Amino acid sequence: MGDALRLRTARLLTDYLEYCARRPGTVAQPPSTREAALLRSVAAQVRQRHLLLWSRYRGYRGNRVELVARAAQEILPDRGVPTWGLVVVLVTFTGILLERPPSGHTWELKEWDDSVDRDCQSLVTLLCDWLTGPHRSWLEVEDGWDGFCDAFTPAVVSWSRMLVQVLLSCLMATILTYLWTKLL
Amino acid sequence: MPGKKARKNAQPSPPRAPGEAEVECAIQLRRIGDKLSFRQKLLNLIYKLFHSGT
Repeated sequence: MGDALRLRTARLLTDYLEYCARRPGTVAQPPSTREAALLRSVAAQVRQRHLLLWSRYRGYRGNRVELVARAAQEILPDRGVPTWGLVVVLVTFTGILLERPPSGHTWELKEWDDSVDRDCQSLVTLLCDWLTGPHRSWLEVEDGWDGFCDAFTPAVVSWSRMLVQVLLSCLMATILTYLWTKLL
Repeated sequence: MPGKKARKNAQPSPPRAPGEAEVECAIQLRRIGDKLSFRQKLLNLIYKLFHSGT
């Protein structure tokens, strides 16, 4: 059972990080699982909201594996237990580090090309160890990746529908309040 | 001269300790992650409220 969780985690991380590290011109593979599709969608929203921070790390020239290892270590200094939000942000950040630099010298692009596949594998292993090692009990309590889907699916799928409902409710409340004050 | 005085008073920024940038990066990631968790919980709560009512 424990191995199943690790395999599922490794599959998800491989799916997302390979998607980020793909070479220009190559067609992105469709997400392999339900959680992979959801992770891509949530990560895209997170990226859009914090463009300035992420732009600093695109085309990162230092040691990506060391940076992610340090971030994973420092991200939970006092609590010790992650949340889905922290997991999503850490994986999104790792994906950004693996992306091809937007532009640059030929040697920079060559350096990226030489190291990206190796780093992608190392980072899958690193994050998989982080999630299924010290945080395995948290992941199990949260019902694994099914729990991730439950936590993020309702709001992602029906956000627009929910907004319409909230607006309609506000309108109804305004009409009722108006009638109430006019009638009394 | 004001320019000269300002230059005299300007303190050179202290050198960064090794690993300080990584810690700062982790703090920013934590802040974004906490916001995301809070936002998601709030959205799910609103979603549940509206769906239990309908």
